[in-house]
Formats: sequence, structure tokens, C-alpha cells
Amino acid sequence: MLRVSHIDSRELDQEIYKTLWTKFKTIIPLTRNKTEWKLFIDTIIFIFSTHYSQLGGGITITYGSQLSNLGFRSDKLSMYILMVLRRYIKNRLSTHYLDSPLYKKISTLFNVLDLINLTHFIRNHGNIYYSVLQRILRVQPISLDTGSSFYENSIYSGLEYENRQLLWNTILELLNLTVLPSTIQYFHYFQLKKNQPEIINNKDNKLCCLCNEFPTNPYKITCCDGIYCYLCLLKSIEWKHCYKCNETKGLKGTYYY
Amino acid sequence: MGESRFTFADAASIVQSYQKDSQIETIIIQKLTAILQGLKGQLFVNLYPQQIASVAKFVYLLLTTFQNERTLGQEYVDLMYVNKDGRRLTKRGQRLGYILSVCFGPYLVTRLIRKLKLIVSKEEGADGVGENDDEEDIGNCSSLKSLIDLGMNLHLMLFYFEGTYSDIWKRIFGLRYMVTHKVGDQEKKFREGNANTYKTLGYVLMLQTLTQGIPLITRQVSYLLNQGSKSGDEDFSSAQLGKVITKIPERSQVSHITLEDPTVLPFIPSESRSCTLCLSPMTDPSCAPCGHTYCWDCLQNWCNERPECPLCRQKCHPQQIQPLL
Repeated sequence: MLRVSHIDSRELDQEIYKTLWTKFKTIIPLTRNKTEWKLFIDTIIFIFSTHYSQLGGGITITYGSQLSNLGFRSDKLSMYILMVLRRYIKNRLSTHYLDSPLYKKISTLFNVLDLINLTHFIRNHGNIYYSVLQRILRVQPISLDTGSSFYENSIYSGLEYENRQLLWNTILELLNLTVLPSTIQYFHYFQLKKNQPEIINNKDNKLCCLCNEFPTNPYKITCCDGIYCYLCLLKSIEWKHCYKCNETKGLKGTYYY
Repeated sequence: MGESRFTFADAASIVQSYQKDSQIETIIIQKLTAILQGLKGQLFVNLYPQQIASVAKFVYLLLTTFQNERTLGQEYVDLMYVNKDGRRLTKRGQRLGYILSVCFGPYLVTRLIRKLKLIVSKEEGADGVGENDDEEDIGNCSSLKSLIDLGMNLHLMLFYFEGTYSDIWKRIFGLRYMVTHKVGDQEKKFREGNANTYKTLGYVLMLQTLTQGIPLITRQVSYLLNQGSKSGDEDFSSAQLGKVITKIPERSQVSHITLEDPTVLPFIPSESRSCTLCLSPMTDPSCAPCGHTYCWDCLQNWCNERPECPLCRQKCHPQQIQPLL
């Protein structure tokens, strides 16, 4: 039995609960007793997900666990406490007793026990409980026997998805960092060639040729002695185009003062 | 012992097991931070995130790889560590070396670079002469970082092409992966298909690294060659008149001012020495037309999206930002 299937099944179940809860919240506006409503919705999901499991022998499955090839040998009440009531009780306790040091001590103790249990889980010495609550409630996980096709299906599809994602990300990075800046330059140059911008009159040569404001850090361009802000000059050199005299080659600038 | 009956793993499975392992490490880090938060408070958790992550990874690897057991990710994809030639399992010393280097290696390297920067900046402060040396040393430090990035990209490319060692520490200690079940023909074809996808990835990465790396290397070489005589055109000290600009200067060619040192720009009171955008001491403090000061890069990035001052929202175009010299 793969140990990763515990984590997968838990995540998938949480996704289902979260999706339905967000949909519910957007449709029905709630003002008070939000946690009670959440408990109600989660209970409905839980009833549906475990009521129709067709396996006998005291094994319950949920949507997430079925997708991860996992079943639990326990009664429905323990599963309910584990999946739904745990979150509700934690929410209620933390809102009411947030500042109480006793609550903090108990929750820290609980977390320490959880971490110790997790280390046992990782060491794989016959210990199969993923969390402390599972151990307390004696919820034993069982692997549902579907043969080697499960391995092939889940791992192969995972590999395909991940390959495609990696390739997509790398190509995007390539485009953004290398191809895009040079294409923007060519596009800008092409656009300039198509429509010549009209030369705006410059009052006594005291405004920047690009942004038409008083130039910060004024620099002079060598082709026509036009004045630019420092950054506007850098932009003109980058786009290889002087806005005053439409010169495109050999643009240089010197400090004005 | 005869030839090994098991096949080496391809790049795709290695990456998948690595992803699953990082998922589990995140869970361990979350649980560890919850405990530390209860014991030592939120401030401790916020101050040392890197250290907590390294410790969590160390504990995880100690429980699995050190005891020659499979980690959860390896169990998922059915891999196991073997020796370089694939005939024996790994030795304990190999595994221990790998665990220590992969957990604490990157953290130590970043600390080393930071110490190097401090030493370099202290030297400049002591001399106080020679702007040329300033630019060279600052150039060398930031180019050291980009050289390390280049090296890591090259190693990643090598991994995509060959599919053997996914990080440098595995290569140093000689740990390879093998598949622990008999690989059928269909699965072999599937794995080869995956390997081809990764070869394509390798070519794309090679293209990207070349376009970024070649200018970097040529700049480094020209730095080393032109140590005696610097050409006046590219020099950028604004104190000298008659300097000509022909291109946008690189970050490393300009001398920067950081306000970490209390003797730099001492007229700025200590309460206003940190930038409100990045919350760290300002590098190259510059002010908007309304007078509010920020780091040059922070304010440029902000004004390129909205041309206004972040605090008072007066009109502030990117070209109107004035650096304090």
C-alpha cells in the first residue's frame, strides 16, 4: 500500500468539501453561524460519499479515498468524527478560547503527538495511522485491490501531466526572457515607420522631447541637440529613434550641464 | 556479482518522486511551525523560516534515506538509491554526506555570499579612493551570483539530457536511482517517450541559457582584460563631464548607495532610512516629485504600473524619479 495515498485521499476530500462550501457561500448570503452551516454542508457530503459505498466487511470509503485506492476499516461514526466533526470542534474551540493558555498547551501537546505519529508513519515500521486521531479512533486504512492497473493509470497520467507542464513553463520562460524584448523593439520600430508622429512645438527648447514636461536630469542628444530626461533618453536610445529629428542611427547623449 | 538486472530511472520519474517528496516536506514544515508557534511564539517562526525548513528536511531524510529505506516519493514511483554503476546499494557514509549537503548546503552558500559582500563593502569603505575599483568589486559580486545561477542551469540541462543526477549533491556523492520492478516492453516505450520529452526540455533550456549566459561571460572576460585601461564611453561616473551614453548601463556598472551603513547620507534620520515598499534599508534612495523617498528599483517598478506616488498618490512618472546622490 502506498503511503502517499493517505495524503492524496485527504487532499482530494478537502477539495470536494471546499468546492461545495464556496459555491454555497456565493449563492446563499450568510451572516451568522457560519461554522454551523459549514458543519451542515459537510455532513451532507459525508452522508452521500459514504452511504453508497458498496463494499461490505465494515469498510467505508469516501470519494477521495476511492480515487487513491484506499479504504478504511471502521464504523461510520468514527469516520464522521475524523473528517467533519474534527474541523468543526477545532473552529469553535479556537474562536472561544483563543487566549486561554490551557488551550494553547493542549493544542501544542496535540501537535507534538501528531508530529511523533508522523515520524512513525514515515519510518514505515508497520505503523499505518496517518494522524493521531486515526490512531485514537482505530481507523485502519486498507488498500483496495485493483491490481497493477492502478499503478500504471495513476502514475502514468501524473507523469504525462507533469511533462507537459514542465515543457510549457520552460517555453514560456524562454519567450519572456529572450524572444519578447527583441520583438517588442521590432514592433515599436515597425509601428513608427507606419505612422510618423507629429512634432509637438517646443517652447524655447525647455521641455523634454519625449514626455513634454520639464526634464529631470536633463541630457542632450548628439544628433539634433534636443533635450531629454535621463530616462527618456535611455528609452530613445533603446528604441533607436530620436523624437525630434527622426534619426535612427548612432544615437548618443551627453550631460547637459 | 554479474550484470545488474534493474534499469536506471529516467528523468520524469525522478522529478515526480521529487515533487511528492517536497509535498510531504511541506506537511512536516507546517506541523513543525505549528509546534514552534505554540512554544516560542510567532516571531521566532517568522525570523527563521529557512532554518526550520532545513531542519524538517534533515529529519525527513534521516528517517528514510539514512536507514536505507525509501522515501514516500520513491515508494510512489518505485525507485531506490543505488551506486554509480548500479551494482550495489549505497554505503552509509555516502548517504550521510548527501543528506548533510542537500539540507544545509544551499543555506551555507547563501550565507557565504552575503559574508563576501560584507567583506568587499568594508574594503571599499576603508579605501575611499578609486571609483573604478568600486565598480569592479560590485560587478564581481553580482556577477558571482549570476555565475552560480548559470552553473545551476547548466547542471539542470545535463540532467534533462542524461536523466542521471537531479542535483549536484547527488552527483558528488554518487547516488543514482533504479527502478525496483521488472520493466515490461510497454513501460519501456513509455519511459523512452518521457525521456524524449525531457530532451526537448533540455534543448529549450540550452537555448535560454546561451542567450543569457554568453553576454554575461563576455562581460566578465572584458572586465578581466580591461583592468588597466577603462574605455571612457562605457564609464558612468556622473562627476566627470563630457561622458557619452550609447546604451543603457548595466546594474553592475553603476555604484550603488545602501542606507544600511549609518555613515552613508547621515542627514536622513534613522526612522526614515527604510523604504516603505520593500521594508529594508533603501538602496539608491530616490524621491518622487512630491518628496517621498523610496529605493530606486521599488519606485520604478511601482511607477511603471501606476504613475503616482505610493503614499500620497500625486502624479509621478518613471522619468521624474530623482536619485539622491
